[in-house]
Amino acid sequence: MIEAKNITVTINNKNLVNNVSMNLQPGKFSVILGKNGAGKSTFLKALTGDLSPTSGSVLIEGKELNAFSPLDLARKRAVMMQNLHLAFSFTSLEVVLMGRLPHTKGFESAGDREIAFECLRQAGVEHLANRTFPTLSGGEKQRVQFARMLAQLWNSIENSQPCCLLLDEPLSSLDLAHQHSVMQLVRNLSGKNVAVLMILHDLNLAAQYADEVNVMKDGRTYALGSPNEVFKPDIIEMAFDCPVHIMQHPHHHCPLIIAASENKRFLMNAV
Amino acid sequence: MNTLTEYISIWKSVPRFRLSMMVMIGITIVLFWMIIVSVGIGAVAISPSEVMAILLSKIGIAAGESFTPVQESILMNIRLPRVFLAVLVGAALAISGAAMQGLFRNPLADPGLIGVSSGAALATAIAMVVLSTLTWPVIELLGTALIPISAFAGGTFATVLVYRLSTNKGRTNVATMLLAGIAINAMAGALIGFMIFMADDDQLRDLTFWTLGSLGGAMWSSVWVVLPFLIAAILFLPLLSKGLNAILLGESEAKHLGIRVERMKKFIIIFVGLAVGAAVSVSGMIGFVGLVVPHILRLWIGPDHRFLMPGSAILGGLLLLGSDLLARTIVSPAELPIGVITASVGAPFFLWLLLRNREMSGYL
Repeated sequence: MIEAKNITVTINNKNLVNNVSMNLQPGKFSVILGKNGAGKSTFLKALTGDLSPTSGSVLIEGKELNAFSPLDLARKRAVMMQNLHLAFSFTSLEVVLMGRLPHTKGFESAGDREIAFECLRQAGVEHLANRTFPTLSGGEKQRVQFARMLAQLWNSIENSQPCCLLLDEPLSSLDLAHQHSVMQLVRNLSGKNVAVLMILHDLNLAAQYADEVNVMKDGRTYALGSPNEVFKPDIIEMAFDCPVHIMQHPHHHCPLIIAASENKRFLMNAV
Repeated sequence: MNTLTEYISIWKSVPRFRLSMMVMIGITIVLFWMIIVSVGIGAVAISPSEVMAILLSKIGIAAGESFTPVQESILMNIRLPRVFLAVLVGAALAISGAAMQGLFRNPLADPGLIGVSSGAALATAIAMVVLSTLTWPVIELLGTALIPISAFAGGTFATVLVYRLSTNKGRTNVATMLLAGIAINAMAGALIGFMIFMADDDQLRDLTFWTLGSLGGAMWSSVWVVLPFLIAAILFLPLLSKGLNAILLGESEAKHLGIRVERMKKFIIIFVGLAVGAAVSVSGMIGFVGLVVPHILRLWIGPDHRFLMPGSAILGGLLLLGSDLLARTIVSPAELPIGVITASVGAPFFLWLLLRNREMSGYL
């Protein structure tokens, strides 16, 4: 669906992203992990076209990214960025309806409104439909944004056509229950022919839900593979500069990562 | 586009759509009523039925009402062009304000912000103080058209300058544009100050009155000159409404929703620059319309540009028409500068809106 080939992004002679490749396919849930400043968001921006890579190429269905018009892209790909700032008093429902923008001419029809309501319901925020967006809490805003992504890809998801969802830390303001409900939703989406790429900080969420994990360090791919392949103590310790214990999850067949208590080194440095 | 039945179902199910439609229809009716009434008010009174009779006789329909040739001449040559210009200038300024506020994602943006008004003011000051004293054949040929043409050129030049300064490799940085606008405003302010320093007493008075704005010089000839630029903005800018809605989420977000953001920015800058330049050239500096009108509407019907843009045009026309009526009747037979009216009515109203809004939720 989307293929990133040897992406390098150089800004001010610093390689923020260095020769990173990924292949996003419908039905596969990919996650990027890494320390702060590892180049995760920069790589995602290169993938979305917000940033043009210094070298390398992004192919969508085998064609160059530039070959698509913004409207064509919007119909098959939704992108959720971090920290959305909206100073105008749209309601949550109107924000989600903007996800229907690539699919409508004129005003949103009754059908579009039904879709928007259903997306709000799936994201667990239908009770906020008529609240003005700027008055919502951080986590509520994030879930309304997620509902907007669902609304944008709704047609493809319903018709099982391949489409793509790119998410930059969509869980950063969510509580425990909602982190899992959004991850479960994304998991279900990837079962419906959606190619998903998510930037994440919680290793255990990645271990439990992802099909493929790309651990980035200093702009490079440090490890790429299934959670069971990637979540090894030495890899995680090197990539995150934090020693960890890794055990088997008691209920799911996936690794469980716990930061080891001997990270006094980090604490000493901080002092 | 939607079918009629779809519109009816939207009307039934969406309260905000219903409210917006009713507000639009309401202010349109008030605008037409206001046009008919205000062309009749002045030193020579013309009743609304006489106004209708005169207009009908122009298209060859004889109505029952009788009127004098003086009434006809005043209506056709003095009142109508002035009312026409007030509505068009008000509409263009307000819709430009709405577009700018959307583009900058900032409810405090105003066409004056990107330097159009001050560029036009500087060019006018130069024309009044320096050019009008020269005896070049070009200037004598231009005659009274010198000032509007200079204002238009100055406004357009300032817009192009701000745009060039803030655009790199085809991408316009909105924050840079705002700062470039501030710099150009400051620069123009300094040069206008220098022109004031050079001016003699008569020029100083002309310049001061011009900066306060007036529609007193309205003639059909000036209407025809600015008409294309004003109409272009009023008709074209509403077509960008959906893109403006999306850009409120952010530039990347709008792009990911399928909007050609860079192209839209260019269109907005061009149409706003031309419309505001044209408006300033015929009416001087009329403040507050571009800022206040979209605000009033946003508090009333919400931030959806599909209603906000055409609504701003209608309400802006209405507001400026009302202000002009006040300006020419309140101290009759003299005339107040219209900028005095718009600012002294607009500013307290704006403060009241802010206070009320602060108590309600604090979001615009």
